[in-house]
Amino acid sequence: MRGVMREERGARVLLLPGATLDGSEDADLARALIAGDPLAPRALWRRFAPMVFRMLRRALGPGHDVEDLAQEVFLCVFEKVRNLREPKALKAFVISITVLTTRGELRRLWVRRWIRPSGKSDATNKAVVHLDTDAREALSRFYVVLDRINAQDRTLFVLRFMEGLSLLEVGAASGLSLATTKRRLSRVWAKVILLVERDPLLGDYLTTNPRNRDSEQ
Amino acid sequence: MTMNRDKPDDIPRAEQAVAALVALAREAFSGEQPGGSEAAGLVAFESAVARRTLRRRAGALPWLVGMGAVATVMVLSVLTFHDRPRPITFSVVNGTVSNGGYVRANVSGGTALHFSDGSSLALDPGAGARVGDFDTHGGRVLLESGGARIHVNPRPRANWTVDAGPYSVHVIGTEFDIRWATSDEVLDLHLLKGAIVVRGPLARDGISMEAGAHLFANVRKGEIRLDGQPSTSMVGESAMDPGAGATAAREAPPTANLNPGTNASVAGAGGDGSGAEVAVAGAAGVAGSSVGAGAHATRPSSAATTPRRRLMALASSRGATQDTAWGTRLGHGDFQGVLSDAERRGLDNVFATASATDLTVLADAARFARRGEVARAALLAERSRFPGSLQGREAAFFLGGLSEDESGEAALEAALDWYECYLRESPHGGFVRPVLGRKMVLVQKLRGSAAARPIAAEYLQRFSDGPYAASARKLLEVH
Repeated sequence: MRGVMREERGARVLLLPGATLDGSEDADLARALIAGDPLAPRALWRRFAPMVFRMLRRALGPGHDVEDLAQEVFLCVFEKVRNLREPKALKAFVISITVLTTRGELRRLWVRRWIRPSGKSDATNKAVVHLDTDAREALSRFYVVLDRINAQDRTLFVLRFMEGLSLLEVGAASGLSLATTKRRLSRVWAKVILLVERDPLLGDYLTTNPRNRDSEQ
Repeated sequence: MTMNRDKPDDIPRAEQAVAALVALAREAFSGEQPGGSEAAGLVAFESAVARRTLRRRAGALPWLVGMGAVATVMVLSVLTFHDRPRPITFSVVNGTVSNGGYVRANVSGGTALHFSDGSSLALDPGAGARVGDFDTHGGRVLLESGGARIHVNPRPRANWTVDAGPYSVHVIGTEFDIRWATSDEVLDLHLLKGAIVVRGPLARDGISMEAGAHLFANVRKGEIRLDGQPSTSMVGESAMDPGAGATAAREAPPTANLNPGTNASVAGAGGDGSGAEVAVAGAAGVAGSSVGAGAHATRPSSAATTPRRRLMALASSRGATQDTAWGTRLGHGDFQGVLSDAERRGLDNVFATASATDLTVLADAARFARRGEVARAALLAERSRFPGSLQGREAAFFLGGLSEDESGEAALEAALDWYECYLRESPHGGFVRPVLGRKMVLVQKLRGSAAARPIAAEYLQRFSDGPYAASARKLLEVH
């Protein structure tokens, strides 16, 4: 066992160094998870929770509680990490599970909206607090636009344009070839532009907001 | 804006519009959201990881119950294998249990689970545990929060596992006290009988423990300590007393179990009090290494001296009557909240009308918040309004501690008076051991070693393995 055993005033004292996986490489963390190291789940969460939460929030938009989904993602990673062939690819593995979870949730939301159309107004009620009113409204409208895109294309869009992943990473996370990824991204980008142009509220926001006017010049 | 684009080039203005919206979304969801959901999620995730096997078992149950065909098979199985060993069953006393095997202890205490193999689990008030995975040889207990005393009946091939946070204790036949503080990520384990193996963070390969060993692990600090100090504070208690943890916390020297941040002054026995470590020095200054070596080794971070542990124990054991709100707030460390509430009602009014338990909680909150005058008034009100009650008698002990906070010989004399008062009123009370120890220290200070020796002898006679035993022996050896 690691650590130092020493006698101190007649007592057996075992002092162990503050061993932690927090600073370890992804591959080490993956191996620790596979080996069942009890410290590993915590390290996994600490390392990837910010990314997973951010991805879920960006993919689903305002008004969605992502805590349960994040739990789903991490439990899935924990359960399936034994199937990971290349421990170095832990981050990509987490991203791909996040993508799958997001896609499933988007499909569930789509079905819910289809069954109960009034449900989509939730997004505007819980908008992000630190944006001004116009920006909140624009953001909500933007996610209404994204709601009209299928789950797979939407996750591609989020990974590429919001998360800034490379084409290769997007393809790997989505299980698509590079060519297919490019083709799909091009298609979804064009569709988003079309939908944004057709949305009168978004058009109004983008032309009246000074910041946006500046960015267009 | 810099972003990767894979899009047609014939609509630049619209592109910029979408780019602006994407930037807005990135900005809106860039960091952790208010509420700390990410941090809170870690606790839930770890619990889920520990629970997953139990959940799997529990999840299958409704299907079994719902399928008539399977029920028929079960009946046939019972008839066919009537004499085969059966999986362990359990009964819950004074607590609630859900379908998933989650047991919540009553705040009033006395919650226990009795297993059909003779094993038992006594939960501290307010503690929560999940039980499941039963087979003919044992089962699994997940202590979600709080403390518990676990007794596993030694039998051939007995196989029990106790999970506490990320730690797992493999048990064959033994008895131990275990406490897991979810918020502090602290495990405190006293092994009373038998042997166990503990696995978890910093103990991947497992730590073997024998009777009398004490393991303290602070996951957050990456610290784990094992000492051989017999868990004297636990051994003397009733095996199934659910309040044992609280009692044990109280039985530590008063210098160590009082105010967080003010125990320096409480440790005035040493003369230069500066925290829990000084409490040891204070006693040791009298007669060398007074506190057991193990206790000394673990003292800087020992749960026995951790104010939070004591607070949680107090909250669960003391705040379990009328004003549970105060008790709960005390347990969460909201001392100022309790005090503010009392002040809003009017302190004099509270002293005159509050229940004994409320006065106790208020006195504790005031002591922890360094409001000695309020604590003293509350304790005096306890004594005057509830003479002869447990709270009234225990107030003498705490008044003694408050007097020790003050400087000067008169204050020490007052403390001594209170301790003697306690011993007179409660010769077999829960605080006799620390009171006798403190009395010995104070008498030696005020009247010399010769006067303290009879007390040292009495202490050794009654508590030969108590925290002041080493001081007492030293005192007698010098003689």
